[in-house]
Amino acid sequence: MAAALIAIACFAFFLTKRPAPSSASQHQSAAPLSAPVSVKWGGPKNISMLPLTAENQGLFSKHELVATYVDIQTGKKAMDALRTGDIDLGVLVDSNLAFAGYEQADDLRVLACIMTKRDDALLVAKNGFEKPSDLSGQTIGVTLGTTTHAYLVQWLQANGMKPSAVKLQNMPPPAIQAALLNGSLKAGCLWQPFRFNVVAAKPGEFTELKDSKVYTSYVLLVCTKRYLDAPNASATIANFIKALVDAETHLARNLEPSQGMIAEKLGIPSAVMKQIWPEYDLRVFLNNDVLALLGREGKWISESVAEHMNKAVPDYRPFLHPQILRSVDASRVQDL
Amino acid sequence: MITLRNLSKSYTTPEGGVCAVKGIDLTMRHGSITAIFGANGSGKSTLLGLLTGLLQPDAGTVEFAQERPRMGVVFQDFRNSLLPWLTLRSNILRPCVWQNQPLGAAEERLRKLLTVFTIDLPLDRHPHQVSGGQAQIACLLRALVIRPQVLVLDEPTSALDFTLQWQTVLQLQRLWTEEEITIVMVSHDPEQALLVADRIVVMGANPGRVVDLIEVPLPRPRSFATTSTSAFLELRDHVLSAFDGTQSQKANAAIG
Amino acid sequence: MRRIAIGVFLILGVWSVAHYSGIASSQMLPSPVEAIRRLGILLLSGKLNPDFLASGKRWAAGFFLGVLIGAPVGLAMGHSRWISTALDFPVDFLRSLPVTALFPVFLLAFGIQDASKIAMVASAVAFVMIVTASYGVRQAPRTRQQMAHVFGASSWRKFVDVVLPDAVGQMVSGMRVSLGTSLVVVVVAEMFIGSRFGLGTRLYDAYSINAVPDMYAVLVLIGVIGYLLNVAFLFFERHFVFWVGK
Repeated sequence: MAAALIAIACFAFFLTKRPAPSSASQHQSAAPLSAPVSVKWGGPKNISMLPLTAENQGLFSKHELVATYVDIQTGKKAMDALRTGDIDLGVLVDSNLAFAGYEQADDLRVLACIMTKRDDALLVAKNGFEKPSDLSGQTIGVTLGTTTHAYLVQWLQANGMKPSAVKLQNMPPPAIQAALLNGSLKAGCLWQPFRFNVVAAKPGEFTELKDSKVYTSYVLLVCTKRYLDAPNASATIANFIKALVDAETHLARNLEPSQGMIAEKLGIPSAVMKQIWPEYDLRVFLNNDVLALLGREGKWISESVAEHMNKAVPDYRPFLHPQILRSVDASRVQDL
Repeated sequence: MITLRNLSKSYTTPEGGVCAVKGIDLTMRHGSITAIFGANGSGKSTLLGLLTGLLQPDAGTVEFAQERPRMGVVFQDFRNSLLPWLTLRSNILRPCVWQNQPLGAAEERLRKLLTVFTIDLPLDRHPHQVSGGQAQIACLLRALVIRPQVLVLDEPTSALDFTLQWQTVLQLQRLWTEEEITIVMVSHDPEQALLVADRIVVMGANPGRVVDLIEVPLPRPRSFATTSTSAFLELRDHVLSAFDGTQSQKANAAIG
Repeated sequence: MRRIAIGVFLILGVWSVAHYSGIASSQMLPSPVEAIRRLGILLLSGKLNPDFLASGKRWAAGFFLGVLIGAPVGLAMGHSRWISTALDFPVDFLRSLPVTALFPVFLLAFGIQDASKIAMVASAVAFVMIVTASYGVRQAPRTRQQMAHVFGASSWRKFVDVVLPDAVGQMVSGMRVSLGTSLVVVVVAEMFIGSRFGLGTRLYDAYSINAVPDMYAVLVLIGVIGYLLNVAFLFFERHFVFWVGK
């Protein structure tokens, strides 16, 4: 029996041995890199606009990177992919990190913020809704652990309601969209383009409760501590960030064609992309606002999520790793 | 009386058509016992199928003197003819339910049959809990409990031990004497067939046909002692000779 | 009992090796001790009670609805060549579609309440029942039906006394086979369509907010429920459908 278990363990070990961080398997030399380095990055397309622009413009190869994109549906799954070693760099959102703080695992590092977004909104069927308190007791579709969850909780609090006043139903965004459209849900919290899809399909039937003062989400470039400690990882990450900075510049100078390219990648009409563009700010930076937001989110998690109720709010400072961004462009790091 | 006129039946197989029986002309007198004897593939089971109405002939007819008689059947595949979810008792009495016969009378009849056949059958067990022999006896009782006018038996003692085979056949003869049943039975044992039958039908194969009709004028009641009489032995040799003839024909046909 | 214990220890052993050897990230795979301890806490606190009841209700309704729909269709297909030929294509086409992947269809058709989840479970079960019921009729020994015919049973009595009990044996086996499938479907339906309560909901919630020990605790519970359902069904089969295979 013991021999069988040992045999299974050895077999499993060799079968599932986690790939070493890409840069560790490439030409190992002291910085700067002398040959193109492979790096795998992944995340949802709708928050990966800067790296997708960099990819489209060949900016990764300009900075001697062979960057492979892995399309991952959600930030949470991207975080999982980082931990399993399937990607080296992940595009996540702040709420992913806020929840991760409660795991008591010091394994993730935020390298930069690459976008701010204000595209979360609460859609409520107009029929029977006049004021926020009308939502009391209602079931609201939301994707737990994501920016819509964070938005909804903070919107409710900003409007004098406790999160416990409503019934949160955890659903993926396509399911919330479908449920709103077929009337089985009266309220749901969504990001783009799902929000747009609902409003476009049923014009005039929904109120969009959107308040960017309540919540702005930060899209974060994240890696694992294990990857960071690999040889040449810092140089690889620095080059990746440089490519993003170049993409930022390209976007500013070529807005319309860039919007068209991104719209095509996301599978939405260019006109829609133009319409929702003001909800995004594509910029590479890292400052104390990110840390403050993580702290606020950690607090409402402790107050409103049953599994973490009344736990001490984590210290998110160790998550932030501004050093590499600072080495690329110190002006982009503030108050850290 | 049962009359088979020019009965023919063929089957289609992947290898082509097979003529199971061809041109069978046979008359079975009311209250007689007819035994059918022949090699495998000589159409014995097909003949019984045509007789019971389970098969429809391609040509010819099966005629009964009056309306279609009440038939009791013991199938060659007796195990699968029993309903495994019922006890032996329920299996035996089920046809009475289907024929709307009063169950009280049927139970009484069953008790009598058990006495006649001096069988100790575990009636409250299910078919999978009894031996092959017990299952076959249950099938025979099922065929008899409805008071059949015609009894069709396809190798009714194949699963019984030697003693029980002879005992059963003799008790069947006794019952037949009391109740005037017309019996048609397939047997692979010429001696058992001779012991009970009024006539032996020897069948040959390719196509299945009647090769010989052997009358059995032995006096009744017949017993085990009858099997050592010279008349019995002569008849047995006649049957075997007729059977051998069918085998020679088969061998010659094979050699071509 | 010893064989069951060996199986349990095998699973726990492999799990422990995967966790402690570092093959899997500890954030993704807690130790079995942690998961079971967490399960104990959740069960004793009663927190999983509404989820257990909600999933149980959906599963039972969907399972028996699937049986009620699938069994007669299967019996009809087995009994009638005409019906079988007419329904073969739609049945084979539809049952090849993975029902969990069709959750948007069910969501749009039935909404986000219990109806959609029950419908998904019922679909999954119904197709298994159609196949096993029609197989049960077709594979029933012909001799029994011939016996009933010869002994004067009417067509109706033949069906009720011979065909149906033979098919029931196969159908009950089909029900046992679809136990596992139906449990999977109800959990996945709760995850994808969403609900207030349900084991699938609890599983997805735990995953969404990184409460990994809770996630595995619910997984263990679902596995145990599946095993116990199977044991109960085997008992039912042995006692009430004892003739299967005999």
